[in-house]
This record gives sequence, structure tokens and C-alpha cells, in this order.
Amino acid sequence: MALSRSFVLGQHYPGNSVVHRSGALVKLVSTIALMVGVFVATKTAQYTPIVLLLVVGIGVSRIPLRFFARGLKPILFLIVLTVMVQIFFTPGTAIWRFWFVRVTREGLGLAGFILCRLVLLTLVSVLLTASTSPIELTDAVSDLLKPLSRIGVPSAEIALVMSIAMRFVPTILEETERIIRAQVSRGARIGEGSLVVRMKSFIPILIPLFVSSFRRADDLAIAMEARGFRVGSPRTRYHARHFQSFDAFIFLGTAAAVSGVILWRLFL
Amino acid sequence: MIRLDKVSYQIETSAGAVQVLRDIDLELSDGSISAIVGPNGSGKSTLARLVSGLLRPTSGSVRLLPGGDIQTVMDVRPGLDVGLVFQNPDNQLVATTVEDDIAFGLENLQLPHAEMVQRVGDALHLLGLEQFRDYPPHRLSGGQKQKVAIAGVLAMKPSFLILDEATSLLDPTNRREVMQTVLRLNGELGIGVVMVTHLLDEVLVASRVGVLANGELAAWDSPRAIFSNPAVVKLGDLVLPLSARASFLMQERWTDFPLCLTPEEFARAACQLS
Ligand SMILES: Nc1ncnc2c1ncn2[C@@H]1O[C@H](COP(=O)(O)OP(=O)(O)OP(=O)(O)O)[C@@H](O)[C@H]1O
Ligand SMILES: [Mg+2]
Repeated sequence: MALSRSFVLGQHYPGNSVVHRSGALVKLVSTIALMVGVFVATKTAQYTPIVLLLVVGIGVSRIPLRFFARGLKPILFLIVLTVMVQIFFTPGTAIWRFWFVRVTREGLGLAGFILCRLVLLTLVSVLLTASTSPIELTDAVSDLLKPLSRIGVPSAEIALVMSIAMRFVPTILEETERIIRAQVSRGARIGEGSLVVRMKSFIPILIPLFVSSFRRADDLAIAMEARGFRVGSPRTRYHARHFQSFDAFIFLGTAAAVSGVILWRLFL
Repeated sequence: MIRLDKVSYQIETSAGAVQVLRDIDLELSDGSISAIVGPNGSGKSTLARLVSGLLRPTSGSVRLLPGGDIQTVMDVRPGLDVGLVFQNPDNQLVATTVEDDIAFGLENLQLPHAEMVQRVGDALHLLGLEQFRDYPPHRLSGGQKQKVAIAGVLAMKPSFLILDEATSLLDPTNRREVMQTVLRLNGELGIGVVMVTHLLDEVLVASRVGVLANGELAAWDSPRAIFSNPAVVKLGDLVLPLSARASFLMQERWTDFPLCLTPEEFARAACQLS
């Protein structure tokens, strides 16, 4: 089951902190606003209000720092690459040179700025997904889309489809592993040889996977219907939305941080 | 009570109409345990869906008579009156946690929040699943998944539970445990149980067994009557219990030797010979 374990989707870190307990919709909107704030900033120093808020959020959430470090790992390559490009290819006053390589003061500044931007974007989204269960998150997305249901966007169905997809990712990964093992035991060589050969070797995996997924979808539709589900019928929600006092803090904190960034950029 | 009257079902395929079930008459009384057996493709799953109200018969009727009351006849509502549990544990759980999955049917019923919380708690307790409340389905064993499926169905408080080969993909230990749970629920809640099955153990606990063959109900009787009728056994492609086979061998010498369905019965009958 190596595949399904190394693939951590959503990265939920269950807990009972105020951050965990506050409303998913507030957190989602706050995350989006903070991301916009990160893009608005033009200088590293302008990130300060967001960093302050994030430090408080991470501290209060009681999610261990190594969990955030793990969230950064997948984009480590991207970070290193962009930072390198900024350092070595930004023109300006050179502070260090060796042969044709030169590092400029402007390059270092820009690299630091980009580094902060990528790290902040990641940390903000990790904090959201770590402190919010997938189901809460899908409910929040559906709330966010709700105004669109007036113009015919099926927001509740979209949320349901998302949560069903999340439910089945591990199951389908396990199935993929099972099929791979079955094909390997019959002598198939997967992931070896030239690109074309490798692509071809995935066909005997994909076809059974497709067939079984269609069968699964069929079974699931009948099972859902047997439990009283009808497309388009109204449903109530098991997860009640209670307003928490921390929701207000998140809301005001985000508003303060984002307007702080904007004012800083405009007037300082 | 659920009553089926001359129920037929046919489907239109590109090759023409196929008659899946023909003129099925049967009565499922409240709190009873019944079994439906028959060869592959004989229409067992189709019958289960008709009884649960998921399919409408092409002709004939499927009716619910609450408490056997002939006056208030109504259509069966899927989930509310009859809960259906299917074969593959992986293909019937919809939510990312056990708790949320049990709540799925309740959300469809549009129950108020407090009642949902109450019913989810009760269902978790009833199936002994409290410690798995927050588990994602893929971290459960097959037997546990089937229990979650049963819990999700029971939370809707149906008066009948249909298990369509619900234990056939489980290993023997899980199978026994799920079966014992179902029998306990039948005893505690008085819920009617219908098992579509290939397994002898499940047939033997039923008070009534329906044998489907070629879309027709070849027999609807007690297990003993079913197993003592060679024509029905053959039609339904049934495996005889070992004790029944031994009884038939005994009958070759002692013609009045009774038909025994369990080893205990057989031992008792054998002791009385001498
Ligand atoms: N949607 C459909 N399209 C075509 N044929 C169908 C359809 N549904 C059922 N059938 C046919 O109806 C017959 C009965 O099917 P059903 O699934 O009820 O059998 P079953 O007794 O449950 O079989 P099994 O033991 O394999 O589960 C089969 O011959 C099947 O091919
Ligand atoms: Mg079937």
C-alpha cells in the first residue's frame, strides 16, 4: 500500500483547537483573501501583517511544525528552482562573481521575496486543509457557490461529488496497486524501457481500472438511491454550522492583515 | 408486512424485451427472517430491488401493509421502509468518515439536526462501531464496512432489511460476525430480514426460503420442506447440508429416518435408531 500512504490528499490533521473548530467557510474565505494579499505585496517587508496573522494561526492550531514542513516538501523543487533563477539571472550590482556566474544584490532581494511568497502561499493553504476536514471543506465550497445556484449551478451536487471523489481516492489507489501486482505476477513489466514501451505497459492497468470504476459508479448510484437520495431533492446537513467567537477573530484578523498589506503598498 | 402480487418485471434491451421475473407472489411478515436463493442470473437482485421500491414492477404490485393492516396499503419507500445492503462493501459507502456515511440517508430524509445526531449515535452503538466514528471507510475491514453499511441503513429505521449477498465477499470470520449482528438486530429490533444468499448457514436460519429459477418462484417454504423436495433443490441449484445428504443415505436403509438439517438433529435421530 506504499502508493496510497505516500499520497496524502488534503492533509487533514485532526485536532480540537479553536482553529479546527471555527467555521470552514470563514477559513476558506480568509485563505483566499490572504492569498490575494500575498500577491498584492510588492516588497518582502509588506508580508509582515500576513506573517504575524499566520504565526498566531499556526501557534493556536497546535498543529506541529513538521506537518507544515511536510506540506512544503512537494514544492521544494519549485522553490529551489525559482530562487536559483532569481539569484543568478537578475541584473544589477554584482556582489559576488565567479567566472561567468554573478550574484547581484537585486537578485538576492528578489529571490527572498519569491521564496517568502511561495512559502506563505503554501503555509496558508496547509493551515486550511490541515485544520478543516474534507467534508467541512466541501460544505464550505458549496456555501461559497450557493449564490450561483440561482443561475443554475448545482452547488450542493458539486460538493457531494467532491466528497465522493475524496472518499474513493484511497480505494481506487489500492485497486491500482492490486492490478499492478496482478499484472506483474503475470510477467508484465511496468515502468521499464523506452517512453513508448512504458506508456504501453500502463494499458493493462488502466483498462481494468476503468472497467471496475464504471462498475463501482453503477453500484454506488444504486446504493445512494436505496438510501433515499434523489438528484436535485433538498437535503439537510449533518454538520451544523455554529458561529464560533474565533470566527470573528479570523474574519477581523484577515481583514486587518490584508488591508495592512494594501495600505503599506500604497502609502509607505 | 410486504405483499407481492403477481409481480412481473421485464427490461427492454436492444435484442428485445427480456422477462426477468414472472408472476411472483409472496408475503414477508414483520419481524420474520426469509432467504432468497437461486442460480446466477435467476433474478434475485432484481427481486430485492422490487421489494425495496427501487424498481417498479412491469405488472403486479408490491405493497406495504403496516402491521398487516389491509386498510392502509402503501407503496414501499426505498430506505424508509426497506433498507438494502449490497454485496461489495467498497461500493456502497459514500462519505469520507463512518459517522458522515451513517448520516447520509438521514440528510436525504431532511431530518432536523438534533435528530440526526441522536440517530447516528444510536446506530453506531447498535453495531458496536463507536470507536470507528471518525475512521475513513478505506481503513476498515470488509466486515466492518458492511456493518457501517448496515448502520447507515438502520439509522433510517426501516421495517425490513434486505441483504443482497452482503456477506459473500467476506472471509468466514467476518461473515459469521455480520450474520450474528443481523440476527441480533432481528431479535432486538424486530426488524424483518431478507437474505439473498448462496450460503447454507444463512438459508437454515430463515423461516421461509424462496427458490428462484428462470425468473419464477419455484418454491416458498420452510428450509426443511425445500430440502426435502429434490425437484426444487435441483431447480434452485442448491447445495444440500451435509446432514441432509447423510439423512438421505440413512433413508436407503431405514426408510423412516427423518430429514436432518444440522449435525445435532442427525445425532439425535441416529441415537434413536438403536
Ligand atoms: N439492466 C439490465 N440489463 C440487461 N439485463 C439485465 C439487467 N438487469 C438484469 N438483467 C438480467 O436479468 C437477469 C436477472 O438478473 P439479477 O441480477 O436479478 O440476477 P441474480 O439472481 O441477482 O444474479 P447473481 O446471482 O449473479 O447476483 C439476468 O439474466 C440479467 O442478465
Ligand atoms: Mg445478484
